[in-house]
Amino acid sequence: MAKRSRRFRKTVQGVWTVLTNGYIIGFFKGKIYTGKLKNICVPGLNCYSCPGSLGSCPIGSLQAVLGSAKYKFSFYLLGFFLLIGTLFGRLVCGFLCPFGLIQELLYKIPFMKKIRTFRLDRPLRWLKYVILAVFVILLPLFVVDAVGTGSPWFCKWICPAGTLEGGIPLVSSNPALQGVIGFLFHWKLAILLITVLLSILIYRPFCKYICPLGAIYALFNKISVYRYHVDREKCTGCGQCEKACPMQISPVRETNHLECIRCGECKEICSACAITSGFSLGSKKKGKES
Amino acid sequence: MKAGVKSSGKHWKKWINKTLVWQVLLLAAGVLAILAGIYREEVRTVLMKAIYICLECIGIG
Repeated sequence: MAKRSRRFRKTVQGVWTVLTNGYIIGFFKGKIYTGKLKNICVPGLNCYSCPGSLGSCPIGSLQAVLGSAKYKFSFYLLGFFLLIGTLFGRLVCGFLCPFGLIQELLYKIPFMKKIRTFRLDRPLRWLKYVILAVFVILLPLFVVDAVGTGSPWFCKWICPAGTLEGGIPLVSSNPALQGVIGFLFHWKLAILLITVLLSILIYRPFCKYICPLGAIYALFNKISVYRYHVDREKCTGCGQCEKACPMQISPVRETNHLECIRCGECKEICSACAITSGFSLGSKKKGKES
Repeated sequence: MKAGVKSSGKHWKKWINKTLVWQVLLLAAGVLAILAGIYREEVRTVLMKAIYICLECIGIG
């Protein structure tokens, strides 16, 4: 049962990644898709400069609108985050994020001892909120050039997804880009390398500590329509769910915690079937806690 | 005991309503904000950024 559910999640992640990056010809030609679908943002972190990408990255788009000379506020992106966040919360991280999938696959590589937690693990989880505030909102908004245009600071200096999904495929298949590689490319390559190495040792380190998109969706986890429920009457308090949680939270004590990516590991391990999940407006029946 | 159960029931009902109200409000606000963004032509800015290779994103510019 657990295996079937895990396979279902992996299938959804894989199919979604292929569907939203289906412009295969772009990988061969070293070009990106330029059609109207790019008006729409995909829910997960997916660089719009990935040759296969059919949609826009919400974090890149937010910086583009905030950093433009014309707008200093984005209703479009605010609405997008409100809608997707309220419906799904961090279910997006668990099911619909290509970069999350890549990190999970890297974590499967058997390599030394995996690190479940460490001394600064919990405090470091707050770093993604700082990155969201500083690199995604404040710097693109206020550090502007002569015509009032700001840079996408997060994409430029931090995002390893852009290097992996956009930088490497484009640079390797486009000779014109190979000629203009400089410090920034090497800096971003180093960040990607660190992320890859850490992903082999730690479960989804980028999602836990860096991802500003995860930080946004986390704010909706407590009230999202898709949520987890714990039946206190059924719960035996065995603690198996806490041990199984790859994000190191307690699904019973901290149900729908900011860090819960709805991966379902706790549900599957629970022999008492005390943990359930689903879409519900308001909350479930009395006796269950959400 | 009875009073305790009653008050916890009341508290629960209140909580359900609060969650429901938040969900409906945020969903409605989300739809309205998206429509406002489309009206303000923010979508064009998103499209213009997305259809050209973002040099900063890939580590060139």
